[in-house]
Amino acid sequence: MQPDPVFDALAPDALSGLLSSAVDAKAPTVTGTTPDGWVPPDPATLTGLTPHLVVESLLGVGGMGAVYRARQEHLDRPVALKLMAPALAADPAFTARFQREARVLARLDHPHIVRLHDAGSDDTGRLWLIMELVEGASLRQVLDTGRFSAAEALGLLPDLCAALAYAHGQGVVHRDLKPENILVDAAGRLRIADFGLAKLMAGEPGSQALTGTGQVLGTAAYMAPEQVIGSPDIDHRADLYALGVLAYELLTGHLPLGRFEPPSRQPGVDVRLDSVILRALERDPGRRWQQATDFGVALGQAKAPTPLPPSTELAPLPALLTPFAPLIPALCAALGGALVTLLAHDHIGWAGQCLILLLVLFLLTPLMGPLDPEEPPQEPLRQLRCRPEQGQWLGLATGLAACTPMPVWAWRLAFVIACGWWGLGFVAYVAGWLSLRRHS
Amino acid sequence: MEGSPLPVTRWSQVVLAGGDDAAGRSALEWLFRMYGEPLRMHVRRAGWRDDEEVLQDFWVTLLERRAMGTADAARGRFRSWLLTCLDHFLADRAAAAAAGKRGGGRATAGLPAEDLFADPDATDPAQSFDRAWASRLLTRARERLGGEIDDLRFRTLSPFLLANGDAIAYRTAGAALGLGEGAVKVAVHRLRLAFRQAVRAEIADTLADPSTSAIDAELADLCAALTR
Repeated sequence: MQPDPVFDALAPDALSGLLSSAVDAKAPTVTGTTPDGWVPPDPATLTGLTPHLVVESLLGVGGMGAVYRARQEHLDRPVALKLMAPALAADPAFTARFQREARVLARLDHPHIVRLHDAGSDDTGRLWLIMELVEGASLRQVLDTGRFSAAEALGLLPDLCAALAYAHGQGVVHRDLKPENILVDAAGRLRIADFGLAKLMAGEPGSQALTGTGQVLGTAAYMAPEQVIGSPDIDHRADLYALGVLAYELLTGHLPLGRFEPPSRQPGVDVRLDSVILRALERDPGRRWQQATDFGVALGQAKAPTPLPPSTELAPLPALLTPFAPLIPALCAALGGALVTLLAHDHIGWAGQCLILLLVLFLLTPLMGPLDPEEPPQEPLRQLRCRPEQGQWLGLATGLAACTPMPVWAWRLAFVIACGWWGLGFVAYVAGWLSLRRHS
Repeated sequence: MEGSPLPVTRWSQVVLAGGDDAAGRSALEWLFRMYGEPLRMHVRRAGWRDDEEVLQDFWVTLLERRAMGTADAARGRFRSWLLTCLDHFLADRAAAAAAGKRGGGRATAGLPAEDLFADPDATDPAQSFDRAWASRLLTRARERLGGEIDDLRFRTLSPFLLANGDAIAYRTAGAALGLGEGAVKVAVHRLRLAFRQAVRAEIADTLADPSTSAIDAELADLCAALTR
C-alpha cells in the first residue's frame, strides 16, 4: 500500500495541524452530558423504544435531552430520536411543555421546518420525539467553517422568512430562533428545528402559565428586548427580532451588540439592507417589521438590481433621443470644450483647460445614464453611482487601480468624451483661425 | 468509546495475546503491513542500503523472539514500541556486522552506507519516521472514510480540513462538486467530523488502551514529535 500523495506531500506542520484537529474530542458521537449531568443512554438500549425503531448513534446532547440517529425499520426511513432528560420529564411543567411541543410540531408542514413523525413516552416515563432526520449540520456549525457571502446570505434569509411566516400563520411562535436551531441539509437548504419553546397563540389559552410569567426562555444574543425583560406579551415579532440578529450575523459575521455598525459597512453588503435589518432590530416591537412576509419582501427588494437613486435619476428623454443618450453628455462636453478653447485659450492656457475639463467631467458624471434602460445592473456607471460612499471619479480611480472591469469600462467612456473635447476644440480653433485669416 | 470495558484494538490483541496466540500474531502482521512503510523509510534514512532485507530480518526476529510479548504494555503504543525495537535491532545488526568485519567475515553489505541514503531534509531519522507514520495514519483514516466520501469530494474539500476558506474558495469547490456555497460548507463540516473520528479510530487501533485520554495523549505526542 503506497502512502497517499495528499498527505505525503504535506509539511510536518500541516500533518501536525491535521492530527491536532482530532485532539479535541468534541465529536458528539463519543459522549456527552446535559448541563445537569445526565448521561444519555447507550443507543443500543433504546432500540425498541417504539416498535420498529432501531437507534444507531448519539448525534448530540443539549439542554433538554439527547438526539440520536435512528431508523424506522418497517418504513426503511432514517429518523432523529429526541430523548428528554429524565429530570426534565419529572417536572410536570416541562412535561406539559413537551407535549405541547409535539402538538405544535405535528401541526407544522413546511419545506423549511423540521417535521415531527411521532411522540410519546415509555413505561418509565421517558419522553421522546421522532423527527425527520436532516443529514447536514446546524447553521452554527456551518458558520464556523466561514462567513457567508452577502449573496449567499440573502439567498437563505427569504427561506427563513417564509418558514416563520407559515408558522406564525399557524399561530406558532418559535421564541428561540438561533443558528443552533437551524439545520442546513446536504443540499444547503435550511430547516428550522426545535419549536420546543414555542407558545401556542391560539387554541391553548392556558399556555402562558406553562412557562410562567417572568421566566426567560431563549438565548440571550438572539432574544428580543421584551423577552430579556420577561415581558408576558411575547408575540411573533420576537422571532422577527431574532431573525434580524441572524441576518446581521450572516451578513457581517458579528452579532449586533452594543453600538453596532450598519451591515453595509461590510464589503459587498448593499446599503439598502441597512434600513431593512435595522428595522427588524428595533427595540420596540411596534416599530419592527410586523410580519415575516414583509421582512422577506424587503430583503428580496434589497437583493434586486439597484434602481437609480432619485437624486441622480435622468429625466425621461424623448423616444427619438433615447438611443443616443450616452452620446449626449459627450456631445455637451465636446461643444463646451470647443467653446472654451475658442474663447479662452489665450487667457487660461492648456493647464487651465485641463482643470476645466476635469471639472466638467466630474459635473457630468451624474448625467451619464444607463446606455440602455433595460441594461442589467452590472452596467458600470450605474453601479458606480449607486455607491455614493466610493465617490464618483474617486471611485473610478480606486476601481481602476484594482483593475476591476466596471471602472475600466467607465474610463473608456470618459476617454471618448475627452477626445471629443479636444477634437472639437481643435476644429473650432482652426475654424476660428481660418475665419480670422480670411477677414484679415 | 470511553467507559466500555476492555475495547479490543489491534494493538491490545497483540499485547494481550503476548504473541503466542494466532489472533495476536495476525493483529501484529496487520499492524506491520499497515505501518511498515515508515519503518522501511527509517531503515533507509538510517543509512542501510538493503532496507528490504533488513526489514525482513527485523520482522522474522520480532516473530521468533515473540518480542510482542515483552511489549511495554504500560505505554501500550505500537508506534513508539516498534521504533524502539527497530532501533535496537539496527544497533545489534550494525555491531554484528562490524564484529564480522573485524573477524574477517564476509562483506559488510548490511552496514550503514554513510549517509548515502540519508534524507538531506531530515536531521533526525526518528522525525522522518514520525512524519511517514503521520502520513500513513492520515491515509488510513482517509481509507476508513471509504465509500462515504468519494475521491473527488475528498480532494476538493481536504484543503478545508486545516483552515476555513473564503467565499471564493468555497464557490470554486462548489463548482467542482456541483454544490452551492452553503452545501459546500455543510460538506466541509461533515468531512471534518468524519475525518476526526476516523483519525481517532485509527490511532485507537495502535494503542493498548483506546480511551479518549490515551488517544489524545498519543495524538499530542505525535504532533510534538512532528514539530520538534
